[in-house]
Amino acid sequence: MLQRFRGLIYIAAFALLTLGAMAVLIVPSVDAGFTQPFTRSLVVVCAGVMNLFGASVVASGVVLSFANAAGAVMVSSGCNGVEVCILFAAALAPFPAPITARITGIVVGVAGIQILNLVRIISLLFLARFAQNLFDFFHLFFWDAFIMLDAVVLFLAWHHWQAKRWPVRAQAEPAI
Amino acid sequence: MSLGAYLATPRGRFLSRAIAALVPLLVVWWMGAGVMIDLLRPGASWLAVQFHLAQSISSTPTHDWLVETGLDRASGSQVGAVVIPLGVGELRRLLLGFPLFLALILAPPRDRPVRMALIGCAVLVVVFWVSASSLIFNSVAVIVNHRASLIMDTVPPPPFTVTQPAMSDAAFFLSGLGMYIAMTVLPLALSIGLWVGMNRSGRAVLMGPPETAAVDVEEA
Repeated sequence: MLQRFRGLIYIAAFALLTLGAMAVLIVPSVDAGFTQPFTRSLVVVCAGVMNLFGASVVASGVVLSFANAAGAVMVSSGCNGVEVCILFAAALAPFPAPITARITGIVVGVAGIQILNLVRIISLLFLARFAQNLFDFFHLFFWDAFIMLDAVVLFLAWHHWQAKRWPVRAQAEPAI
Repeated sequence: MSLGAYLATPRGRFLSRAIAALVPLLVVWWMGAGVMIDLLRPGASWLAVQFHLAQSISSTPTHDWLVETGLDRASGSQVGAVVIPLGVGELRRLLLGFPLFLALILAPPRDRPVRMALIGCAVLVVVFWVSASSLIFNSVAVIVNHRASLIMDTVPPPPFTVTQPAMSDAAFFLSGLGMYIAMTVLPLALSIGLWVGMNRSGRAVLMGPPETAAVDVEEA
């Protein structure tokens, strides 16, 4: 009986996990204790990576700027890639695959999304300096769509990997 | 497997064509979203009135919306009903699912792409109307509770109060959650969900076991 509705159960579990995580994320204490420090650490990592390649960049709280003040971006809560990571994890967690595969997928996938998000922040800093008229388009729309597409690609890659590694379990994928 | 060989597989073909379609679609959508926002305004206005969130929604030449609420000012320098501006940037953001959904259904394999596009776009339009109402609901909650939004800390409470009673903490929280989901998750996640739900052939190729001869899947 349950087998018949496994697709619907999967979608319901995905929706509930997403909603629950989003609800937790907007609680002020979670925002102050997790989201804000995480966002600041992203800015520090971006500055570190850029300085490693010879750029002169300063991280100040959630603001990433060129040392000569020739361009800056403020990384706010919606720009830290956390929402896409939540969606990705919520898609993998209830998937009928071995727990090891799911945990590995979530860890590697979240890392992949965050690496692309670093590229996004750095590219936006350059756009803020050299092409401000394109900034909004890339900031609000282009990159968001591509990071979501990146999550889909990672999900498919993970699915492919786990189906190869555990072929029997792959037959039990949710039939939507 | 080389990149060229991978791109020749059904999975590679899907991914490369979806990405190739997304770029021009984003540009077209960026330029045409203003017209779409104007066309969708009457429906959003009707829904917001049904939810008792607004009395009407008008638009400006720059495609921003002006939401006339039924809230009455109790203090402040201005008089009259409270008008909430909704920027074209926020509204355009709510429509971001369209280019992504169309890019996905343009990539092979696909089942009845025209029917899929019509149904998907209809769903995205309805979700746009609901999402616009959730934005208005959040703005109304910020005004009547005179508290900064849980989501956009850049939106402080206005410099006036209104005569309407404040919402409960739970309703205020829900208003923030609704806006958060409408702005960050729904436009993109829904378009992917719609594609997954309607494209059986695509799903079979992308989610099938590795042994599946994906090239055998026929387009209906």
